This record gives sequence, structure tokens and C-alpha cells, in this order.
Amino acid sequence: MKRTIIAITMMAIASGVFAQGAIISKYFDQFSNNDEYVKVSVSSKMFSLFTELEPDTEEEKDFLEAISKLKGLKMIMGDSVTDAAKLYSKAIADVDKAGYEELMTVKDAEENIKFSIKDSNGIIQELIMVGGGKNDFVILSLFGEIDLKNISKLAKTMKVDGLSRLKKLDED
Amino acid sequence: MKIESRQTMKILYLFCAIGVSAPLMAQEKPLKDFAEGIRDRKICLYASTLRMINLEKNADFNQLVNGIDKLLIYTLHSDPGERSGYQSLISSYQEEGFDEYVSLTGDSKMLMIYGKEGNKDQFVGVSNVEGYRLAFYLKGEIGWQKIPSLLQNFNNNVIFDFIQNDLSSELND
Repeated sequence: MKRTIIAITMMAIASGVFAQGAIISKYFDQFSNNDEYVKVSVSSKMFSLFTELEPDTEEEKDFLEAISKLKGLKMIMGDSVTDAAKLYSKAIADVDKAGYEELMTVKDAEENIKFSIKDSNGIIQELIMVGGGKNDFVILSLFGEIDLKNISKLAKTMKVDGLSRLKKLDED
Repeated sequence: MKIESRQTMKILYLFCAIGVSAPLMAQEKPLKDFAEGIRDRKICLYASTLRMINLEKNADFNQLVNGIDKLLIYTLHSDPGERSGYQSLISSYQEEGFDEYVSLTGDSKMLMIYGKEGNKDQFVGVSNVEGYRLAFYLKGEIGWQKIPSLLQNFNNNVIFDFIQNDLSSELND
């Protein structure tokens, strides 16, 4: 009985670990050989470089706080996608089906963006952003320990194409 | 007898020095071999020279580079991602204990950075982004916390253009 409980617990933990990033990994596999899409991957090793640094200013403190708790970032984006709307709908359906909780949707004349999260004990473990415009498509997954306010500040600081959409997390 | 022992010590020191530096040289070698067929220029920079090319005298940039022991840059004339041997370059560094830090592919762009933590961190990378075709090897500490203020207040192109054009032509003259 004890063994069965341990085995079930182990399987539950393992499935949780594997589930993290599963959606974005699926899209990475789908577009791995398609040069029309830019694929970006930042590993936990990169983020770990920021963990033992001493900030000199408040701005640096915010930056280090936001970035040091992250474990990975993956993003796929394309700006001349022929079936962008279809791709956006499919990605939204995949995210919903995988049990992510909707956080926020932003719709404007140019594009739709939807933010969804997966949390554990009140701590956000993964943030997925799906964006789609007339010819644009972007799907981004951030995993680790995520503080939405800090992520928005990070996006404002980094001035990186694609990440800039995360600024919307602190708007409204 | 004293002279003999002094000479023995010198030889021992020499062996130790070679022993210490040889693995570091070995870790530059796969990148050097990879870049050899497609490189325009080879530029070797240290913290002092990096501070020197900081023409805007930006204090954050200086703090970013102060801990760098060595930065070796190859400017390339063709896409490194298309170069045969790209996969074996990655395999060579993985065998040396380097891990993937960043990768970017698609839309005719590519960037890969592998790193290895240790007494002195080491990073190796190749890129073809926004017209900057480079391969690099870096040893030392980077002041990563300076990145936000650099992105906000510093024109990075000054450094990149200097490496890509001015410094390269100076070295060639």
C-alpha cells in the first residue's frame, strides 16, 4: 500500500514537471525546421548567472529579483504568417485544453494577446502568452517562480522584440 | 647544488604554467578551428582594451567588463549556422562540460551561447543577428546586473560598430 502511494506521488510529481513547458515544446517541434519563425530558448543556466549578484541601484534590484527566480524562457514568433488567425486560435485552444488558467486578454486593432498561467500553492510556475495579428503570431512561455509585476518591469527594461508584449501585464 | 635546485624549480614552474594554461587554450580550440575557414578578422580584447573602446565613457559598461579576463572575437564573412562542422562544434563544447545558455534560430538569424561555470566562467558563442556575424570566446566574470541600465542609456552599436569596422580595419592596416 505504502509503495503504491509513493509510486502514485512520484508519478504525479513527474507528470507535473514534464507538463511544464509541454505546450511550447510542442510548437518548437512543429516549427523546428521552418525558417519563417524565430525560435528563442533561454535555459535555467542563463538565469542562474543572475542569482548571486549584488545590486547597486533600485533598478538593478528589481531586475535581479525578476530574473533570478526564472528557470527558462521559450518563444516562437513570426511576422509574415499566412494563416496567423488560425494558428492563434489553435494555440489558444491548446493552452485551454492543457488546463492553464486565463489571466488576461488584450484585444486591439492590431492584435490579440492572451496571457494564461499555471500555479502551485499560489505561486505562478508558468506564464504562457499567445499573440496573433493579421500576419503575426507569437507564443511565449516563461517558467520558474513568476512575479507578474517584476516580469512587466523586466519587459520594459529589456527592449527585446516579442518580450515587449509582456509590458501589458502591468497595464490597466 | 643550489643552482641545480633553482633550475629544477624553474622547470617545475614552467610545467605547472603550461599545465594550467593548456586546458584553457584547448577550450578555445574548437571555436578557433570552426571560425578558421569563414573568418575575416580575429580580435582579442581584455578588460583594459574593452574599457578603452568604451568611447562614451559609460561607467556601467566599464563595470560590466571589469571582470573579463579575455574576449576573443572572430568576425565572419558568412553565416556560421550554414558552416559545415557547426554541429560538431556544439558537440565538442558539450563534451567539455559546456551547457546551452541561449539559442535563437529562424528568419535567417542564429545565435547560440554555451557556457561553463567554474573558478572563471567561460562562454562560447556564434551569431548571425542583424548583420553581426561573430564567433566569440569569453573567460571571466560579467557584471550582468548592469544590463538594464546599459539597455536604457547606452548605445551598444558604438561598441559593435567599433569591433566590426573601425578596430578591425585598424588592426589590418
